[in-house]
Amino acid sequence: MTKATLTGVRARVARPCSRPAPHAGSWTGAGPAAITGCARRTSSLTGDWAREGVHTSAWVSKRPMRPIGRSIDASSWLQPTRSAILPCGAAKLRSEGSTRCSTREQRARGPQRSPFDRTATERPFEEPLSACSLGAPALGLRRTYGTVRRKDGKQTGTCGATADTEAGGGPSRRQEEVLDAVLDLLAEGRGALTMSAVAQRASCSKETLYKWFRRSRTGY
Amino acid sequence: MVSAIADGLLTATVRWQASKVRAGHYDGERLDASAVQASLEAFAANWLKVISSRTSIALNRMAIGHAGSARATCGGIVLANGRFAIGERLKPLLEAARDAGLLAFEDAEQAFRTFFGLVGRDVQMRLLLGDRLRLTEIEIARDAARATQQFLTLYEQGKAPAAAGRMKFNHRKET
Repeated sequence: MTKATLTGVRARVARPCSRPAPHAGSWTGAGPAAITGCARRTSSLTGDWAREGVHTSAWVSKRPMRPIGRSIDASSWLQPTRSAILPCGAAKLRSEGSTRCSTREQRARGPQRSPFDRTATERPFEEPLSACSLGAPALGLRRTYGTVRRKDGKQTGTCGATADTEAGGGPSRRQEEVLDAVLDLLAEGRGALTMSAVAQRASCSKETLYKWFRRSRTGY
Repeated sequence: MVSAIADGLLTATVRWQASKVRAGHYDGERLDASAVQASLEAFAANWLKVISSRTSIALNRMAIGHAGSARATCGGIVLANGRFAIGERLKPLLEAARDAGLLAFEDAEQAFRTFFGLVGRDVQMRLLLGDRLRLTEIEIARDAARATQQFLTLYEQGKAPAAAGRMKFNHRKET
């Protein structure tokens, strides 16, 4: 990825958005899937982010946010090294059509659908789009998988469905996948059941696990 | 298996597993004997299916394994969000059946424990101890129907539980 492209991204981001509301599934579908192949797919990744940025820059710019935890800044997305790019568990994901970095075996298997690769109607999280779900790298923001914190330190929108669990509702579809991952690990009984193992199996960060499944104040 | 996951995640996992056991839908105001029987059978079959799943066995084994250790909260979480939560889910049905004059009991908790025992019998204990007990859908449905019938025999209106129990005891003596 060249610097010129990055500049181009920023230029597009800075342009006022003339299109209607962002397509909600775009980040959900493109982001993590693109992460997988981003070591060698920076062009398409940047393209996805750029499109997101164009659509959403106005919205994001009104809400300055500083995420915490494991994060990736914009420049790291453009480095051609996998280790600098991949967040926890993302290495396990395989993007649809990421033939450039696929092994022969993966190509033979055909494109696989990432658990994050959803359409707008399948969007697992009910939260409104927030900075963490928009074109954060292209905007120079940091990206995390669970928590976004404002500059004043107050926690704001998350990419998860913590509100559901806090409100006593059932888990979201994505949370159900995580809980099923715990049960699978338990049933396999191969090793210790740790937060790291769960995070790796469920392709999410430990921070997200702690955020989503913190113990209820009412206690059990 | 050693467990080092946060209590919140463990709680959510147990709740998720227990949520698969449902009492079914029923109309509390227009409850009849067949509806009660169908709901109890559905609940029993549901519960048998869940407890015989390998995930449930693993979860219960882990909780039992930690019961005597410093991490005894694991057992408490499974008890509160498994057994007791399921009980609270079925009791409204039992109480609605009592209000409708279909069942007779004084304590819903006692009635539920009886039903629980009739359904579970030795199945869960054997599974936890490693018995390769294979329960097919047909067997589960048959066991659920049998347990429900036994429960209704014990608690149906006009037949006090004590009397029903005495009758059963006499029957065993005769045989």
